[in-house]
Amino acid sequence: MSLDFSFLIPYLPQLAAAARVTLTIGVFSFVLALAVSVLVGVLRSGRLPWIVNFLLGIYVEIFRNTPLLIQLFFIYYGLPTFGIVLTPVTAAVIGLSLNSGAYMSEVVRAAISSVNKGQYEAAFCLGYNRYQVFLHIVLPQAFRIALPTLMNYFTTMIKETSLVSVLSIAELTRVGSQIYARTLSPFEIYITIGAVYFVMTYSVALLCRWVEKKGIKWTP
Amino acid sequence: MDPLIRVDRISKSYGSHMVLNDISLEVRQGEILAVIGPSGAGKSTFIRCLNGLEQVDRGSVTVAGQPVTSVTSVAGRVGMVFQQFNLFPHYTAIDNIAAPLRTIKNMPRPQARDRAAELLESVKLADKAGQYPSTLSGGQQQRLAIARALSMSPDIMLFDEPTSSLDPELAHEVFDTIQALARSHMTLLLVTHQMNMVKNFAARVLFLENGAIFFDGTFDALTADADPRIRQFLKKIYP
Ligand SMILES: Nc1ncnc2c1ncn2[C@@H]1O[C@H](COP(=O)(O)OP(=O)(O)OP(=O)(O)O)[C@@H](O)[C@H]1O
Ligand SMILES: [Mg+2]
Repeated sequence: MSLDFSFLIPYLPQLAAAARVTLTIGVFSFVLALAVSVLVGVLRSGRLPWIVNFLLGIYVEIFRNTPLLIQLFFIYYGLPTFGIVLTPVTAAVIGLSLNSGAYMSEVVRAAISSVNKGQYEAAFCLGYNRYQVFLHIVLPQAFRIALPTLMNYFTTMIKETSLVSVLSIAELTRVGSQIYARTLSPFEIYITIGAVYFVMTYSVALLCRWVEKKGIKWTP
Repeated sequence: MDPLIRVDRISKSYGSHMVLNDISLEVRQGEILAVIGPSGAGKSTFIRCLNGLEQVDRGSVTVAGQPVTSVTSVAGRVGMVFQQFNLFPHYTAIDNIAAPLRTIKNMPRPQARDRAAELLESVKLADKAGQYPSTLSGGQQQRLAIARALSMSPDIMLFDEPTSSLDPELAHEVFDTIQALARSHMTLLLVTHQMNMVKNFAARVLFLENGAIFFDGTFDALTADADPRIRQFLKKIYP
């Protein structure tokens, strides 16, 4: 067997564009998932009417207990039944962010509940009110606990974008398959695609490590 | 003169376990009390009722005429120092004091930092201002916790075994800080197992057992007491 990557050269612009789509979807979905998870995690940690907790709980459990692929299909093909028609990219971003948001909200919630009871007591004794304790004392500490795990979800997100190829979005995985169909050289093309994913994911991981180091100067 | 703290027949249970049983007490401004007694006697629960960290089932606690119904009712006026320090790990030493002043008292940043610096100085931590709590020794952390509680200008300071998790030499630093407070006519209640603390500056000693005040008097009267339960307890911690 002889390997020859030179046939890929004409496809490079197409691959670069696809990588950009993958990265865009990944980053947008992650940022949205982060927002969703903080909102849901914080709301579920608070003392809200049971119905709020109940509905948020249903959201989290549905998205954690069904396949992402089915969620994507439902959002893209199923929602038009209710008159909600989305572009493939919008459907992909919504699906990915709601899915990861559900998992990440549990990370946020666990981080909040792991803040020591003594922190609340000390703050209350000084005169903080409930809202101030949460904002100034609990959240910053929970952030530190949650950050590494949340950042891991960022790399996972980049990899999961390959699933949205089913919505005929011209991202890396789909473009890779198209090139394969034309060239019939699976080994070279998929190793190339894999390498591109690796570079993106690994860069994100390095970025995460940097954020953790720069963003947090204290230790518990 | 009206007592600063009035405890009127308080009781508290956890399930069927009665932890405080019909306790009454009056503490005057400037008094220094040590609270001693065997483990599980209810010492922590008792002083936590004084600032509303625990709610009583029956009876009432009043501080300077103000009924203590929850921790917010006397927050700031009754300072508390915990065995485990409970410093805010995400704030530097100076911010552990300055941040609460800014949040609670709406103090502008420069004033808050000036006041915090003064308090750090008073507990001999001026050179640690920029350090995070995790980088301080246990004794330094506890002194910082004391300074933080003092920042709210409380009328009363409660200490729950402030030196129990410290090595003897570190305990000594904290001991000195508390002694300085005692000289400043602050009203102090101090739960401790360390009899040298009791002996050195508590004018009044409470001996708690099974959720009741079994003895209330001076240290000398305590050591002279012939009751076998007191004798046995003292033999263990003050041989
Ligand atoms: N939150 C709680 N739930 C149930 N029981 C509790 C709770 N807090 C305290 N107790 C019980 O109340 C009793 C008194 O506890 P407390 O902490 O006041 O004792 P203590 O005198 O401070 O003891 P120590 O010297 O060990 O600190 C103990 O038997 C304890 O198990
Ligand atoms: Mg105790």
